[in-house]
Parts: sequence; structure tokens; C-alpha cells
Amino acid sequence: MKKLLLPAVVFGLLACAGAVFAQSADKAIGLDNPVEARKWLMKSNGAAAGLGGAIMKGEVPFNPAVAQMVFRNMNNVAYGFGHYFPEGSQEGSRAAPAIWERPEEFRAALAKFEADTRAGIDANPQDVAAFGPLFQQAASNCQSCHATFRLPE
Amino acid sequence: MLKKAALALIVLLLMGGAVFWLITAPSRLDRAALANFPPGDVARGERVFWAGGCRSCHAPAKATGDAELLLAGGDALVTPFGSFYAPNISPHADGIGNWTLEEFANAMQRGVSPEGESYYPAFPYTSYARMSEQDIADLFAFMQRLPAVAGEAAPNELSFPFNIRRGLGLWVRLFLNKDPIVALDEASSDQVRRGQYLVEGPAHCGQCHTARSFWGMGGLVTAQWLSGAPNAAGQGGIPNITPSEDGIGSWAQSDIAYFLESGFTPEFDTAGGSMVEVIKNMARLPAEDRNAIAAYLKAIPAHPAP
Repeated sequence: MKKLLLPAVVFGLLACAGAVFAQSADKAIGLDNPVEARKWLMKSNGAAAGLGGAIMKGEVPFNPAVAQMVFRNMNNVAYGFGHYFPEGSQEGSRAAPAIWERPEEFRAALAKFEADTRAGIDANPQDVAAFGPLFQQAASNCQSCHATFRLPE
Repeated sequence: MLKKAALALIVLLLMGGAVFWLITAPSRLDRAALANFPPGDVARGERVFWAGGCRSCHAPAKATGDAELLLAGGDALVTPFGSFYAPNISPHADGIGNWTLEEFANAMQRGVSPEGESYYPAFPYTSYARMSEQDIADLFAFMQRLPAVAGEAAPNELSFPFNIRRGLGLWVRLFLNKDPIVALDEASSDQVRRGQYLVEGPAHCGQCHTARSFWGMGGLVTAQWLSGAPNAAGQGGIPNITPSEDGIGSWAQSDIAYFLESGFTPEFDTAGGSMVEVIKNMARLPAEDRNAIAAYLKAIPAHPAP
């Protein structure tokens, strides 16, 4: 029972956040505003990476369910992210022109991110030693994608 | 009358040419000092190699694993002056295989090729000028042990007048300066001083993170050291890494060291653009070097973004 406490709390918080989020629908996030949506998704990615990093640093104790959530969150972003780059949405964002100039390369980068995070989900690591390499592999996508597809500030 | 004027003009032009030739002559290292360079150590040289970031320009960006050390030349560095192609520096005859330590030191620290030509400052010799003789000797020893790769890199594609290489001799006279950039407090720790050596020397951070004089063509504006600059190799800007609000003042020393190892900021955003290459090199250094760089970055004067 105790084992499920933390995941239950996390899930509960996410459900509440979801409800609050739905309330602020007048913000028109989502397909109506692709630039905002993709920034928002990336912030979720950052939160997941932050949690994974905190586990690696020993600041947060390892828990298999939490590890699953880290990978699942990043996997969700990998799944949806590519849909938020319609033509003409480069203006006012840090999305690099390379996204539209080399779409196959962008697709491949997203596919790799999806595969690396799915590997983490499927492996279902039960301790930090198993979690570490899987998380490093998934997190390595952050920099490799940003190197090419995001402009400096 | 006209003949005299024409003669006077020719003499003037010849004198002008001679003056130009003299002021653009390469400035080599002192010969006596070169003779005293210590023997190099290969293992120490590898540490210098990662600090210096050589592979980021001299090997293709996408190279991984063993291919990272095939230094036959890298991707184009596209700047407002045109495209630079870093040459072959593997120990092959097409690279530096036939070079002496003296020639290597002159290239690294004075920007002079064995043939007496100046290198473009896209090669950051104004930073490498601050490296110790031991580090140069160690690096040379390490590089002679790397795989020898045949082939010459493409020539630079530069717009006029930047394609007149001779003019660089004057640029070097004006802008090459080995003095320490930041006047550290007398009581600064060894760690901070090691960080100063790395940042102002081999790691050459200032080459991207500091604004240049003369509309981007001059030397680094040391009064705005590491406070950011336009991205010379593309769009956007290079961030301020001084301890100011515009910079990384809110980061702890351990945050900076962690960033240099992992590429993750305290908010778990990541490095992007050319910094990704730098992180790959920094990650290969011992932790004490990353900590030293971090300590130095907390100790330097805070500047607002230019």
C-alpha cells in the first residue's frame, strides 16, 4: 500500500492540474496555438528530465513507478510534439528553420526520442543502476535535437 | 613634369607596399623560448585536447566514437565573413605529421603557419596564446599519436576583403594579447586560478561569449568579458555567463559544473546550438576542471548583456 502512496499523490496532482488546465481553455492552447502548445510540451519534458536528473543526483529517492512516469511523460511529448509545427509558425519562436528545411531529419530525431523513451518504459527499471543508462539515453535526445533544431536565445 | 609625378607615384606605391608588407609580417614566438619547451606527455595531452575543443572544428560534428579522433577537417563554420573550413590536423603529411613542436607552438599561439602565413582568427589562437609551454608540448605529443588521415580540407570561402590573408598579420599585431583578462583578487583560490587558465586559455569561451570590437572584426571587448555576443555562426545570441541577473548569477557553482557535464540548466532546459559540442568536450574533463571553470565564472565581474 505504501508503495503506491507516492504514485497516487503524483497522479492525484496531475489530475487536479488537468482539471485546472481545462478551466483555462480560454487560453486556446493546443492546435489553435501551436507555438504556445509546443513550448508548453517542452516544459513538461523539462520537468520529467528534472525529476530523472534529481534521481540520478540522489536528491530524490528512486521508485519504479516514478521512473515509469519520467519515461512516460517524455514519451508522450515525443508522440505529440511533431504535430505543432505547421508551415509559417516559425515567426516569434526559437524553432530553427531546419525543422521545415529538413523535415525528414526532424522526423527522425522525434522518432529516436520516442524509441529511447519507450525503451525506458518497456525495461521498467527497478533500481537506480538500471534506470541510469536508460535515462541518460533518453535525455541525450534533448541536446542532440536542440543542437540542430532550436536557435540560440 | 608628368614623368616626375608618375615616378613619384610609383615610388610612393612601392613604399606603401613595403610598409604594408612589414606591418603585416607574422609575429612568431621567441626562438630562445621555443628551444626551452619541455618534453610532452601523451596522457596529459589528452586532457588539454578536450579542454581545447579541437575536435569540434577539426572533425565533423556528427562523428561519434572513434571517428571523433579523425581530425581531417570539420564542417563549415558559416560567419558574416564567409565560410571557414578547419584543416586536417591529423599526424599525416596532409596534416601536421611533418611539423616540429616549434611550428605547432607558432600556429597555436601566434597564428603563424610553417610557411609564414597567418591563420584566420576563426582559429582561436588569441586564446591559445595563454596556454603554458607544458600544455602545448603535451598536446603536440597526444596529437602525434592520433590516427593519420589523408586528405586536405576545402579552402575557406570568404568575401572580399577578408580573403586577403596577408592583412591578418596586422590584425594579430593589434589584437593578440596574452595578459590575463580578469584581474582576480590576490586571495583567489587555486581552483579559481585554474578556472581562469582554462576559460581564458584553452577552453576559449570568450571567443563566442564576448562581443568583438570594430563591428565584429576586431578583438574581444575585455570590458564586457563573457557577457554575451551575437551568434557569429548563425542566428540568435550567445548568452551572458557572468554572475549578473542577465547572466547566470542565480546559478550555484555546482549548477555550472553540472551544466558543463550534462548540458542541463538548473531548470532542466538544455544547451543547444554550438554549446552542445562544447558540453561533449567538457564532459571528458576531470570533474576538478569543470569545478574550476565554475568557480572562475562565479568570481568574474558581473556585466549586463551588451
